[in-house]
Amino acid sequence: MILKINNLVKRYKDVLAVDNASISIAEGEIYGLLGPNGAGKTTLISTILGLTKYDEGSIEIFGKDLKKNEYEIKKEIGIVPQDLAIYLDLTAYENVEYFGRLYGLRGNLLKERIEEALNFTGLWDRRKDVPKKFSGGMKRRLNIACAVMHHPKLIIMDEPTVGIDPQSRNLILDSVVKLNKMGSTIIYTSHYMEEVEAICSNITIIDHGRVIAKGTKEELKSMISFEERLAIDISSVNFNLVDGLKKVIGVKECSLNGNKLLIISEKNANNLSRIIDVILKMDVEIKGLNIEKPTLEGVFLTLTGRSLRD
Amino acid sequence: MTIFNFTIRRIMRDKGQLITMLLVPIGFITLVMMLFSGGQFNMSIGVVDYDNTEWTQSFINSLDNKGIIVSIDEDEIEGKLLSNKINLGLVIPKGFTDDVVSMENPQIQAYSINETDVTVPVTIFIDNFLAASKHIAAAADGNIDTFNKGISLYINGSNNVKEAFYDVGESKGSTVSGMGFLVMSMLYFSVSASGIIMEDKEGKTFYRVLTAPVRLREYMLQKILSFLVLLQAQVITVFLLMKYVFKMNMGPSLFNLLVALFVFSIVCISFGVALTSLSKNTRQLSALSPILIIPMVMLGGSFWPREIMPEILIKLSNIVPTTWILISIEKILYGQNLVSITTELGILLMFSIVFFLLGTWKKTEIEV
Ligand SMILES: Nc1ncnc2c1ncn2[C@@H]1O[C@H](COP(=O)(O)OP(=O)(O)O)[C@@H](O)[C@H]1O
Ligand SMILES: [Mg+2]
Repeated sequence: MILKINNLVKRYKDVLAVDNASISIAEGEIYGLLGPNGAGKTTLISTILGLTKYDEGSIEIFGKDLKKNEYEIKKEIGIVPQDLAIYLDLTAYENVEYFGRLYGLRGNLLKERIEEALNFTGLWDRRKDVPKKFSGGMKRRLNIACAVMHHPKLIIMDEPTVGIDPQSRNLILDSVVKLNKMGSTIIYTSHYMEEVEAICSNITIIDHGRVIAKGTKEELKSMISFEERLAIDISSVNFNLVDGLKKVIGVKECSLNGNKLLIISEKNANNLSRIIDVILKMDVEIKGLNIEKPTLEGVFLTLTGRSLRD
Repeated sequence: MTIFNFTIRRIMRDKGQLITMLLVPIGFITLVMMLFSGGQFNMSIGVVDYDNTEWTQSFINSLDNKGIIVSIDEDEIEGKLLSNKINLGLVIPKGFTDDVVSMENPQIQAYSINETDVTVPVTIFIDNFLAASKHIAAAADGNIDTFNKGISLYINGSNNVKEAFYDVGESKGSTVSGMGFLVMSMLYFSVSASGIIMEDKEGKTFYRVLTAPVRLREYMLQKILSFLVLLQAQVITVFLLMKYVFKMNMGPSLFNLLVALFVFSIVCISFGVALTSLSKNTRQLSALSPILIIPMVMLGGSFWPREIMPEILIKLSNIVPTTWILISIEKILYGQNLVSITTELGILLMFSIVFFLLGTWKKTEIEV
């Protein structure tokens, strides 16, 4: 295990920011930490880095106790903070150089790594510019370049894609996967379930400081796949339709929203042909049909009754 | 020394910082020079010499570099003063030289509209010239030849007599004022430089630096060291300017001045750091700094001599560090050595300890 958190508790006066969390992360993973705003993700990361004191529990990184080996442990970690943490008055090159030097890189190795990190994030051509002139996405990428140039064993990314255009986002997600292939273990924090779903192998979902679910993507989804969701676009509305569909065996719920039918059935009810039958018999035409697969969003919704993004 | 190097680089790149570091003190000192030298340059001195001896001739000649000398009659003085033809009228009474030689206490009558700044340096010069003459008279022991010889030596400045007296004669008023503004600028600059710590906190790089293998102690130490170096650069630049461009009298020991100002720069930085850690954000910091600095420099005597203030304010001025550095500077300018200012330097160091304690008072967690 590269990181082991046991029964961690962190309070801010009356806010319980981390509530008895236990997380284990194996080497080589891209580990997703998914949770809505205020779930306690950033707080958790700060405690991992020793920046915030915690009240109970223990943290072990690289098999060592954090409190006793803070300095050596930090050398092997790269952090991409949630808030942009770059110097707006230093050039892109100088920004990366500065953090490289803080991690002890010097001489030719330093130069090589600066070039590598800037190429990696697509900023080499803009190395002589100050970030004041950068777009949001470019600043985010510089934020990443500063964190990875020392080839850390563990990279922690705290919402690295907040507030940027889709193109930059994809570039960043690709680079996360690349970094992982190059040998770094990655902790990826986000409240966008699509991102976590796309790149993470193991995931922990947290809410109000508590770990509410953890496992692989498939494990998490199977938690909610005791039901199936069916969305059907229909040509016209018939009042008897909803009542008729509710009588179909296996259908738990049926609702109509404009010309869209939403049907939730028990898992493995095998009632799709019956449902279509009922609709067609009412002289209603089916214009589209969508069987919704379980998503992490759905998992969160099922577990908390709330959506991730509200 | 990464943090140290990059902090200096960032401050030197910031126009606002450079303005507070150099432009402000240089601007103020230029202003001082204009005030001190402007009137003096065109000044006319009307002289009525009833005595007319070798000594009075030497005396009048030595006034030559203070203004334009015009020989006039005594009854012309008032009219010429009022019509601004002369700025100062001097009357040397008959028997003046004899009185000086025989160690009596003769007076030169000086007339001016009122004692404006313009005439002050000249009257100081005259006082000093008279004082020097009396010393020489004492040494000559009533012998007029020896006296005249001594005077001419004094004026030509070829022996020790000049060292002892003439130095006092050259006005250091402008130097003292210039130092007052330098002291003020040092305070301003150290607050604005320490503001970079606040900027780091607001820009979150502070947080990021501490996620690297860097201890908070290390970070602060390197920041403080960089401020210290920059403040010395400020002092030295201003010194060079005062000495070589404005040709101000910097007193007998530049080194001693630098030592005193080095101690003061520690006070400035501890003040800046304390202010930074006590204010919530950059805005509060920049609002707070003039509120604290201006009374400090006013009480301390940056703008005017402390002695002209009411008793209560003079007492109050003991609790601001600017008082103690300006006292030190004045002592050094007038020839005293470092030993004579140990008390003042000690007090300054105490101020810096107090400020450092204030700055580390609230050691909360690193805010994310
Ligand atoms: N410095 C702090 N002081 C007090 N409360 C805080 C502080 N930082 C975070 N919190 C609280 O802790 C909870 C978790 O916040 P955070 O870790 O930032 O969540 P996330 O990163 O998942 O959005 C929130 O309720 C937040 O208000
Ligand atoms: Mg967060």
